Amino acid sequence: MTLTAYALRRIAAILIILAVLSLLVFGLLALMPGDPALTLLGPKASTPEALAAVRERFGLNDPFLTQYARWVGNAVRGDFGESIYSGDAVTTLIADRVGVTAWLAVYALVLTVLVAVPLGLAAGTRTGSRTDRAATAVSLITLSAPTFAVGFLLIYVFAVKLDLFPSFGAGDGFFDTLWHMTLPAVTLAAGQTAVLLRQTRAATMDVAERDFVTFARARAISSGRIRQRYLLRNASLPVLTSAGLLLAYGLTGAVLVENVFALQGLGTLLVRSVAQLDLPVVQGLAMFTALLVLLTNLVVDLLYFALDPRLRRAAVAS
Amino acid sequence: MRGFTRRSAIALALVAALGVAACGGDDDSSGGGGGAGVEVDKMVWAIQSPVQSMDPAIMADVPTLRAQTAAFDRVLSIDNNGVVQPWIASKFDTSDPLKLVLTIRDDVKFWDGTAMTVDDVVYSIARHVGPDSTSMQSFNFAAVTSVEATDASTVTITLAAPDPGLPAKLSVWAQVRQQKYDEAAGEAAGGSDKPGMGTGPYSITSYSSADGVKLTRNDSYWAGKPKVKELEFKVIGDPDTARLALSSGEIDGFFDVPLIATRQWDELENGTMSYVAGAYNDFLSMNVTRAPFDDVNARTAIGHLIDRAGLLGPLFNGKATVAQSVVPAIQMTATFGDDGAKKMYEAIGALPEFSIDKAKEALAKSATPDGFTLDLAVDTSQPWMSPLAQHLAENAKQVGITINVKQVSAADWGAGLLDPAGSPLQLVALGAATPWAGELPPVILGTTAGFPLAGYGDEAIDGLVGQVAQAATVDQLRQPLQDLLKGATADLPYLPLFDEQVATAIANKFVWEGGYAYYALSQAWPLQLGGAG
Repeated sequence: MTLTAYALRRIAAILIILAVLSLLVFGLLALMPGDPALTLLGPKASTPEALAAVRERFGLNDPFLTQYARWVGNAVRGDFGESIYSGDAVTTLIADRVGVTAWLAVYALVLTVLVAVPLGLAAGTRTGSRTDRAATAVSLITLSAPTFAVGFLLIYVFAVKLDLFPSFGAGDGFFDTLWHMTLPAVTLAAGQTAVLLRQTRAATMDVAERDFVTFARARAISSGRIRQRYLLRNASLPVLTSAGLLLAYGLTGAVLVENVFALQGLGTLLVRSVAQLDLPVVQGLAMFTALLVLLTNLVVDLLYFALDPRLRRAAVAS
Repeated sequence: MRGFTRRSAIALALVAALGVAACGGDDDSSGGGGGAGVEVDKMVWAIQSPVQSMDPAIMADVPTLRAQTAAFDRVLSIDNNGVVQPWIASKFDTSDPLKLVLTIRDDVKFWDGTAMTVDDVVYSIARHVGPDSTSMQSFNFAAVTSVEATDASTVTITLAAPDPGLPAKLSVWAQVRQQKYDEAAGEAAGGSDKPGMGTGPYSITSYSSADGVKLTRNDSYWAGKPKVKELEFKVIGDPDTARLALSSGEIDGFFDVPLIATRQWDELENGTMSYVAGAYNDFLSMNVTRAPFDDVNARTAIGHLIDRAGLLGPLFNGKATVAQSVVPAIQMTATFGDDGAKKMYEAIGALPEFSIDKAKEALAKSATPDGFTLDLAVDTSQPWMSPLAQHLAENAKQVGITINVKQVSAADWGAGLLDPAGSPLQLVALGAATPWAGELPPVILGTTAGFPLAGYGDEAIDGLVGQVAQAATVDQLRQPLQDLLKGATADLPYLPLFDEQVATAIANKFVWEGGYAYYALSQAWPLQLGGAG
């Protein structure tokens, strides 16, 4: 099987999963206790005329499957309906916020990888050393520190006291956004770094004990070359898996970080929409974030092929 | 004002009951613009949740109203003393209880330079009226049967039944919008692409629910141009972040500071806190039609279990007072004066004092002497509810009553209040928009109440509620209100808890002329802002 065939098979699987998810997500509305028309009407006046108008508009008098088919048809065309509170299109609400969330997720992941991978490699190759103990201690501290506490501490030190970074908001334009997003990204990266560092350390320790590494050392290959060509490459698959999961987590909305830094991202939108029972938004967000997670997994899986020739050969052989 | 909309659907609906006694008024000035401080380029306000629409027909919670009322004029206004005043309508006449006649100014222009017409005013009110209206505010105008332009400068609102609160409602919800603009915008009106065309002190530069609102001064404003050239609203959901942002100078003001956190806010070096009495209160509702509260002794037992005075510090940093009735104290004194309010409180009697022993005694006399078990939902967005509920649950345990405290979202809390299958015990926070003491009782008392949370009413009570609702003068209000509240204090369908203050923070480099007022949302409030110089 070629890489293209593998990718096509995975995309087909994603479409099937999305179809199943769409049924589950749409079922949310049907399973809501009470009258869906009242839910859709939200805070607006619920006169009999208004209720009848909503039922007519959303086809609530139709059978469930007919309603589902219509919703899917609209969703395929990118129409997830409108917020029952603001009247804005769900796609507009998501589009307004996805940039902030993507910035935060990618920026935090870059910081995470830059810190965790070299430190994890160093700790994994020198188990028990001062570097290893320091890395372990740092990862324990950052993992156990509450996200909101780290965020407020960074704001207090770097925004209020030192006046180096803004305390909230996302900024405009690339450099302003980079400036605004630094503290939130560091906050998010703090917890992620601990996860990736531990994963890299464990993978490196596993590879470091393999025969081919011992043999390479016996051939007097430089330690830098061993780290880069033997350890990093062979340890990269579990590290890549973790990084993919961390990115998916960031993309689905790091709610606490968004809240502390007043970032209007997907996480805050989801929390608010759930609290307000704004179901069209919840449905749209659920589908969108599911798609993001599935696509992230697909990219990670395809990277496996790029990184590991054994997988490529196995795929061709099969 | 904060209370009735921040606190979800039930509270929103309370505006329906505005009971102000307005007998008409004349505008003898050209407006009140540009009164405060020196000119400044920009002021940034933080609000706790996004502006969800620039059209009150679609959404009008308090953060949303902050931005709407900065941009759009209202037909009438309410001054700092709570008295309805002319605004876009230079005169209003309520001498006929079934008619409200508005005389519209002829010097008002929209931001695009076109003249505002009487038809625009009719449109701005009539869109909330009638059974076909999809406006979120239509329930506020349920008594209105028609809105008509009687001539080129007069609008006549006809009512099916007297509604003394109508002028006050117009000061919030009758936001003047250009009919032509809205009709062209269709369903997009109020949204980020087509937020609206108004006549107010600021025009809308940009609006999105994600990025906030940017407003630019209307230099041709009929009431005088404001001192602040640009006004911006940014969303900061966490008050701690807002406090740090104010410390670092990134924002210049924050509305509705949580009272439980005011100690930290009081320590701001570059900002000043303002505290004003609010016309809303918090209370416990006990449904008298359902067991165990169909027995007054069970209700009295609960009444003895809350140390209301002792909780003022922990829950509100002392920025609240113990409520003596379901009528907010600010309304009582505004309507009857200090002495009159004192006499009213003496006449209606005292609420149960905090005493575990007396709670035991009352419970022993009830139909449930061995106690009972109930759920109590607390809205997690209202910081005082959870600790109060825990306090009640702990004390209740000592007399054999089990109260299971349930943390729920604001939406679930609001939905649970009127759920017939829900708990008969509810914590409620209600707000008002006027200083009229007759405003809230008809909303929650009597069988005809809009929100009969406690199911408290019979023929005699309904008669009193009717008199309170129809009262147009203080003398007409005094006796029926006194009798109604006296009965409610004895029967205890509601246990009044606290009258909360409203806290606002403003950077020292700005001034709010006359200080922040509870009725700001009924005013062109940005006119009172300026640089400290």
